[in-house]
Amino acid sequence: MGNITVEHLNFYYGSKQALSDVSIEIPEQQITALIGPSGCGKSTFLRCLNRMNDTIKGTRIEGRILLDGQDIYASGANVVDLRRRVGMVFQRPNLFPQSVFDNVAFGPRVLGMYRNGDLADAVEASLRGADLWDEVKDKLRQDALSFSLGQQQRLCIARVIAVKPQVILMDEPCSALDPITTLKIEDLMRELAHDYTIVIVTHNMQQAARVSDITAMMMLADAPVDAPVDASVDAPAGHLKTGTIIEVGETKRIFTRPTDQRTEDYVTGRYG
Amino acid sequence: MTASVRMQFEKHLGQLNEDVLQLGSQARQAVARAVEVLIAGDVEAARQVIVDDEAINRRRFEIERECYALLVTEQPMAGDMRVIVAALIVVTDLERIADHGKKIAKICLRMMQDLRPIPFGDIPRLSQMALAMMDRALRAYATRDLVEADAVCKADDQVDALYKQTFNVVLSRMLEDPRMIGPGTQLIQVAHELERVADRATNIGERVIYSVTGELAELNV
Ligand SMILES: Nc1ncnc2c1ncn2[C@@H]1O[C@H](COP(=O)(O)OP(=O)(O)O)[C@@H](O)[C@H]1O
Ligand SMILES: [Mg+2]
Repeated sequence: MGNITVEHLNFYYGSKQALSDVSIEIPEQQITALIGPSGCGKSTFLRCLNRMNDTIKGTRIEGRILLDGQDIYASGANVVDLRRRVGMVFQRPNLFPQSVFDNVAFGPRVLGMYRNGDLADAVEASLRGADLWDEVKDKLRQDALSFSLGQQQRLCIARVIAVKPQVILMDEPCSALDPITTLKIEDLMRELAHDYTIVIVTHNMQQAARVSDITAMMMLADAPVDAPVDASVDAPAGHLKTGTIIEVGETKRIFTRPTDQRTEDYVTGRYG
Repeated sequence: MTASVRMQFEKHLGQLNEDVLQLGSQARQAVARAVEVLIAGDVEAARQVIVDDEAINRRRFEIERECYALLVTEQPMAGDMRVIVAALIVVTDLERIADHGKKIAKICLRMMQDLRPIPFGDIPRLSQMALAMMDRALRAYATRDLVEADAVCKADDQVDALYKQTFNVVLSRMLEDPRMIGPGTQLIQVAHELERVADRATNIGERVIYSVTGELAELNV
């Protein structure tokens, strides 16, 4: 469970096309890393996977995204349930100024998932799942924001897994963390990949190489000729660059012998 | 990575390339000189070849350390990684090529104890072929030339054939004349060392291909 298939995805912020013809298979219970230069649409793509972009006015998509065979943009699709099944962890921990317990219990409470006694068990299981239980079990009532950034980030992960998702999206989850804390999160990712599909955006090449099974290289490229070109966009015709996946493959291969010269240039730091 | 950090790295890669090529010319020199002194019967020069091998061993370790430092500081990916890893393997082959030269020099010292004139037969030709392969391999390495690298590997068949022929010729001499058994055995040993030099030149060609394409293939089949 947690297989994602993206077919010919185009994405627009109003008249500005941000993604063009993105297709990828994201296999269940594996870690897929998205790499690529800033502004190429990695975050935009990630937010398409749980329809977070719906909250931004004027956005629109073309193409299909299937989660376990179901089109998540089909009319009548349950967006609340989709966001439960596809959770998200951000660059900086975004906890509520509440207790550890209330942060983790937030999702299950909103969704009415458990009775009170079961809720406490579920919170404990989530904190264990995020490798945090031993550190916070005596401080469940303490303000979540009083913990270290690394602990807060793992708390965010606990909050995501508390609602029993299938997919966890992570947008540069370690970019605010020191190397040791980063390694802890990476260990946790590998642990989580036994149960969840993970998609991570990272600017750290070594991190992508260390933790992921599949790597997808995104970058701004010339839109294919048959893509709809909006005349109002301020770019000369034929030079409209939009984000797309230019190469995807087993991580080991991408970092040892990429086939696309642009991937080679990017992973060796020659890009730009 | 900013442009200047990248440029610094490329400078290091360029330096590494030069160092490998320099070791290559030292190793080539060791083999060429060993064969010369063998044929000239120059005991002093043979001793010098053996002594000079120490410097080649040291240089190989220095280059190896250079590679490790680049691996740690740059954490290279893709083509960069392949160039450094190929350099690591190539210096090992080069150091061993020099060892083959040293062994030939040692054989020379042993043969000098025997005062009969020795018919070297095809040894000079075998040595020329092996050295020509080395030259090609080093040229291929210097310019990352896939055609040249492939040609090295193809030339190995001729060396193998000449080695077998040398072996048979020397063997029949030994059968004809038992007094040839001593020097004949040494000659076969020399031919064998040269045949190994050619094999290692092929390895270098393979590594050039790997560093350029990422393909790992045994070409010396
Ligand atoms: N809310 C938004 N409204 C309009 N344009 C946006 C919005 N978010 C991102 N973009 C644009 O979309 C492109 C891709 O951005 P983003 O997905 O954040 O890239 P990345 O995560 O790879 O750095 C950029 O040109 C960015 O300016
Ligand atoms: Mg982003």
